[in-house]
Amino acid sequence: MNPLKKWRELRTWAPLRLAFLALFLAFLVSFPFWGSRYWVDVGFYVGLYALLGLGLNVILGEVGLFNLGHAAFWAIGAYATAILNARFGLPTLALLPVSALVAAGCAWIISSPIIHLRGDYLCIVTIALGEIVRLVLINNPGGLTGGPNGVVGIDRPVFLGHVIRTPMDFYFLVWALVALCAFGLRQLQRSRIGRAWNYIREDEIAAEAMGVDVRALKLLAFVLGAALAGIAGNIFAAKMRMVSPDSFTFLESCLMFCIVLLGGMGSIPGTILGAALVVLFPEILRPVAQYRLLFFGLALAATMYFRPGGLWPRRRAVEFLREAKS
Amino acid sequence: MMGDSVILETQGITKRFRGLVAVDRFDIAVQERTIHSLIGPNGAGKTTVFNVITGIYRPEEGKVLFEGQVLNGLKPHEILARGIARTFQNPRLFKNMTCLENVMAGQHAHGRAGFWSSILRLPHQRREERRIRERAEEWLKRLNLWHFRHELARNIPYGCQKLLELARALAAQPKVLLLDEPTCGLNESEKETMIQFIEGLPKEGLTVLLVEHNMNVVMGLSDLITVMNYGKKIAEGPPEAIYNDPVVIEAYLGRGGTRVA
Repeated sequence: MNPLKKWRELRTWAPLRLAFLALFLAFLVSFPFWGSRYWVDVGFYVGLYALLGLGLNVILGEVGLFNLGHAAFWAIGAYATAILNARFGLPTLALLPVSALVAAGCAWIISSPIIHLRGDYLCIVTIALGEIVRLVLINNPGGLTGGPNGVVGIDRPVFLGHVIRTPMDFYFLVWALVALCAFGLRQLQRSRIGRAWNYIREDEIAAEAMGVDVRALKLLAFVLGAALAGIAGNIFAAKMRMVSPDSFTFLESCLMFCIVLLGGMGSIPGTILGAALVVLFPEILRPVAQYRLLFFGLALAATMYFRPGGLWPRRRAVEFLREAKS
Repeated sequence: MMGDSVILETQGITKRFRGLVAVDRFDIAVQERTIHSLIGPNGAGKTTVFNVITGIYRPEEGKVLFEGQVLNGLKPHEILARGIARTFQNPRLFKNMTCLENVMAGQHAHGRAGFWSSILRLPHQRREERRIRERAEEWLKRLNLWHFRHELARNIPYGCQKLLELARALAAQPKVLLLDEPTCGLNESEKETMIQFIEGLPKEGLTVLLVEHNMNVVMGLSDLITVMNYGKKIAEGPPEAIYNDPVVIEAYLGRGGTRVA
């Protein structure tokens, strides 16, 4: 047997995979108990960006739609929570699904007229949409968004009588949601919906000719991706206890884009790895202070040059072998 | 040999691209369970006819009828669901997916599972997935692509890619199959496999509309041949008649051309 085949075989070996997954989970769960407060906070942001990355991964990674305005949906989710809590007193945690729905609804309305656009055209329109949402928030429509100052005084979320306040609490909240979303998305990947998304990414005309309702599935991807960003928005608002337009800039959309490209389009573990790198890199590079972004950029360029498919691409052939065995 | 009822028909379809008339009031009537070929010189409008039938282009004039119903205005995925599947001149496979997944695409339109039943893997969704997979596997076996099932489509030889595209179209369980130059780019033995396979399709209840450049293939396979040039139908008839038709010879070879041998 040639070494490549052997390696493939090894990766289909269930005990090894399970051991790896168990090790990773053990690390995730135990980390807050031995890591410093500061690093637990960093861990929270990794989870938050993983959530945002997973949402964008549906749109960009699975369907191949260039969305460079994903921060807009994050902002909509965060403001939905902020306004409904600070102005109307609804409990923060109960607003989690509400934020998801509001972001999803906005995504549906916003993306319906532009969903047929391809490639770079869609990209330009989504950049504009991201900016429009941010500018609308700054302009304080109806006195709801608080203009440049944003909305302050958001309540801490309460889960079964327990007030979520420490970095550790938030760490567990966000990673529980990442795990839930990753699981759901994995199920979708292995279904006809997930495959149809990939058919569209690979060849839209052929997908259409094979009976895929391209428009409906693209809309579904946008709506789902936005819903995940809405969830991230709720947690972000609860953590910061305030929201302001400064948090949802074009740069944030770019970072999410990097997360998906870095990890590998359409790869769930890749996206989580990408989020970890994008959040950790500036932390690791603190010693070189003002040259941080330069190094970050270089690292990104190098990754794309040496591994154009991302650091942890999805291995479809291996997946099928694995399923055939089980 | 000849079927007795028309399953697919175009009536006076016209497709213009800016000033260019690619298809000009074109009629074709395809009999059920036959192999009907559409031939003509390069740029005659054959592929455009395919694109109009499958809903990729909208014709400016004319109607497309399938089993007596008008297809105009339907989207490509709705037309596939009615029972018309196609292949492309240059295979348009889902290159970064496995061969099995490619063929499973054909079954997409026969699936019902939605968003929530897919996330929750409900029993009916699991059953459907199994069925989709089994059907796809059958076609891979029939077209001798079984050993490639876990390979990415972009990694298999060109000839096999053509076969894979055929398998994908057949997995959609169509009534009519539109084949756009299925033997183009194949070597002799691959060509032979492809021809034998296409020949057997009418016996399984399928109707084939074939665009093909290779005259030997067309003459050997077709029940009826339609010849087009400059977007218009210039001749129609059984292979022998077309072979000797002076109008056809002129279209291919120019005025005064004579066939050698």
